Amino acid sequence: MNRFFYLKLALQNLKKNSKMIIPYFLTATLFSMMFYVILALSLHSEFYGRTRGVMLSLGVGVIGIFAFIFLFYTNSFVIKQRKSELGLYNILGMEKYHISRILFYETLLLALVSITAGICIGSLFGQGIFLLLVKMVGDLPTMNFEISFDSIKWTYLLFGIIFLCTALFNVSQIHLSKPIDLLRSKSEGEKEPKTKWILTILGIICLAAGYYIAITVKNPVDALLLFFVAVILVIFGTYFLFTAGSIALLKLMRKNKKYYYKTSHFVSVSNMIYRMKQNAVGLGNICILATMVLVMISSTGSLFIGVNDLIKREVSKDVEASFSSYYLEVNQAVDKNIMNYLHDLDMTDFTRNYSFSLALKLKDDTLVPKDEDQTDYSDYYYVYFSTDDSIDLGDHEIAVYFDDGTAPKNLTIGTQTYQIKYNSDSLENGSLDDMFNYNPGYKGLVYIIMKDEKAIDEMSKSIDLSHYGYVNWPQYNYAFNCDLSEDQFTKLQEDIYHIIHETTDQFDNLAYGYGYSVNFQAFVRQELMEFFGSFFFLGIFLSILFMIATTLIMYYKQISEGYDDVKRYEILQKVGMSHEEVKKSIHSQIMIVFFMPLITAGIHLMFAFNMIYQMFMAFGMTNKTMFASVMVIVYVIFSIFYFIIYQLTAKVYYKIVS
Amino acid sequence: MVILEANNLKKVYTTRFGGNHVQALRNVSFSVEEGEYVAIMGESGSGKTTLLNILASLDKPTSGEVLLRGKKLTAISEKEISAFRREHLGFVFQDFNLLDTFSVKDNILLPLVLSRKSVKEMEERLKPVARSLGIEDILAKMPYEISGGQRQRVAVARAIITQPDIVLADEPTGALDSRNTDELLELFNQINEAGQTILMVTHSTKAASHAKRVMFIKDGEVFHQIYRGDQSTAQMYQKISDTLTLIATGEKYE
Repeated sequence: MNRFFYLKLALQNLKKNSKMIIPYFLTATLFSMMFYVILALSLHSEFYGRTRGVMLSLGVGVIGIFAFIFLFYTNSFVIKQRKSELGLYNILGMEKYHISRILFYETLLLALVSITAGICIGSLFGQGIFLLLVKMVGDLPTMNFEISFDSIKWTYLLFGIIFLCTALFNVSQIHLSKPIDLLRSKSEGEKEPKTKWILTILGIICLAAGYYIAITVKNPVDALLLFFVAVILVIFGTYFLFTAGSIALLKLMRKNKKYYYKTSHFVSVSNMIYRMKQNAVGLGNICILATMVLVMISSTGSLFIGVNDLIKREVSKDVEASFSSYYLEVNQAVDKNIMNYLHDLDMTDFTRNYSFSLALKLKDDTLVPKDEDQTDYSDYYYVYFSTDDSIDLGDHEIAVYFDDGTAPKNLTIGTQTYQIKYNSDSLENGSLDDMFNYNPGYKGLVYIIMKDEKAIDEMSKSIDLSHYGYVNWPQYNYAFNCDLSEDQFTKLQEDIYHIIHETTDQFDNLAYGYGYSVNFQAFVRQELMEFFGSFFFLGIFLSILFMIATTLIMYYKQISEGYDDVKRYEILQKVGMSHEEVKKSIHSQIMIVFFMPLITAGIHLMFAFNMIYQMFMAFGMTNKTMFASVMVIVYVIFSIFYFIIYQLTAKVYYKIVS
Repeated sequence: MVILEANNLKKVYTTRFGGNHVQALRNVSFSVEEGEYVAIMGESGSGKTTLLNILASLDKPTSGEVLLRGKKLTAISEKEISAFRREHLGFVFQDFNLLDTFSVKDNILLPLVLSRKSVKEMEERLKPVARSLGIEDILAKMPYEISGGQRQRVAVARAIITQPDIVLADEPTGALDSRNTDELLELFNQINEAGQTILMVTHSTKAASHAKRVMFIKDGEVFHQIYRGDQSTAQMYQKISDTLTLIATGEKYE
């Protein structure tokens, strides 16, 4: 009979504490569902071992860790609220061993039901999530979501361990405390928090430093390097200011008698001091989580939307090919053979040019190459030399486009001086802009069109080789559209490689080697789509995860505060505060407590904009307006969602208080 | 002059689904003169807390009426009731009901702040009250830092700082040890002598023996009254305990 007795008690307890248990249960269910689905997807034959699969595995790891942290956090809250109940059992004659047994049964019940429910729901919605992912990743053959026994096994295992840990934690809590302490674990008469000026100032410094880094960073490399420094500074700043800064501010408000002894401020300010003492860390958590969600969704979303831009720029034609070497005669020989070969091909929109690019500094109408050991490009232009059959140029004539509007009369490059026939405006057109948006870390872009291959060759030869840096040799570029199957393309690629090898074999002097490439757009597009698609998918998924965490923290905050505040408002009403005034006071406090993290997150986001944008440039994403609007839209949507959560949890709070 | 008047008060509690009726007050009528110090005595469940709640306008009678300075409490709208309570009534509770988020000073000033008094006026009113209650030194402390006796004195200060028509005290000595009880009762006598009307609900004979008049409530009715007249506190004590014995043994008082 004993076993059933405990089981019955455990069930009863769960029912009695449903207000606290249900959110906990739902969280466990949702987390196990997400974990199960993502794991099952990452193990799916179409995903495993590919870019998209690797991305998903990353997600699995994050979900696992967060599941652990949040279930543990929630559980510790629940057990804290239940201590007096368990203390009562103890006083009624149950031994700690018996209580532990009840707790174990409770956990077992919760674990079994929530994990199983999670897996079942996951299996139901798996197909939907799967289709979403397939759509985002791009052209995948239609497939079915399969129920994966491996992932069922792992889900049970992981969440079983998490629940076991919570049960052990709970039991240790019971064993470590005296029954009388259990019975009145909520101590009365809390100490007033001290003003910590040093932490406050440190918080301001951290935040200012983080913001400063974020807005002053000038190029993608620095942005990538400094991103985590800035993030950590801002996180510390946020926590310091939420914990110490808020109390310092409130105490300053209290010092101002004129302000403080006003009906509307009196109760709110003094209550807020205590509220902040208990909740500052929780609010800091919410703020950081909200910022994470916002950054994640807006950046992965922008990248996802921007991927079309990127594809257009990086792979504007079906087939792109290039050949480069230091010697003009080698280049020209290869070009001649390739052109012969391409002549027989059924292609459209064919373009061909000869190009060369270099980092150069403008000094009194002279473009000077950079020093060998120079790594900072911020004074240099990325200069792209090219031939263009559509522009008519004579000897020593060039057409020039500076993207920052500089317009010299003539230019000296190396030993050659050129007359500028066409300047900026006449060259500025859409395609040009698109082509050269990619300028990480340079002062700007310069596009110079020269008469012919020979002119480019002379110019490039007049510059000392050691200044070339990582920039390419002069090269021929070909691009065209052509309807090819995968096999046909492979053949085309092999043919061109063959021509290149054959031609270059005829030259003895190839001291600097040569380079070539033949790319098929479909492959690149697929690769890009897959990368950014699964990136965005993961962003959405993890955001949902963080959202749940945020909701959960808020919910439990409301409950615990509600219980703390009941007594306080009872007294206030007895002393002569009207119901309306009480409501107003509660309302303003909750509003501050809730919307502070959201507003702070918004400010963080604003400052983060430049830094994230700089990092985007490393991906070749340069559409600033698009990113800004995505960020604003995401913030608005998030705020609406946040407001709904606030409404729901505030309802719980009011119910407890009134 | 009559300051508080209760006429034919009746209070019936009905359980949620209307099954059980519990009559907390049957028919209570009495009046309190200005400057009086009245103690209402009765055992647990006799209806004395219900009576106090009705007098304090925290609860409404099923029938009957309460008049404070001739004004009907039941006629005051829900909107004005809080302000009315704040300005005309002072409360002292058994468990002090101090707010742990306020300093002693702010606890005392609370009703004044709610009435939107100026900072200058608050300071001016606080000084004499704090001096007469002997709590000047602890004004800056927080409630958890001071003793139970001190807390109750702070609560008294909060009750009288608005210069209310009447102070309603609900078991004010209930949570105090005997030394602090003596001190508090002494204090009540002192403020009563200064002209403050006090109505106290208690089941402590000692507390009641300090009052000028003691009213006994049994089963929701006023059972008996004792006036102090010229009697000493000790004689009062004796009389009260005699009456309590009679009530307990169920005999009718002659």
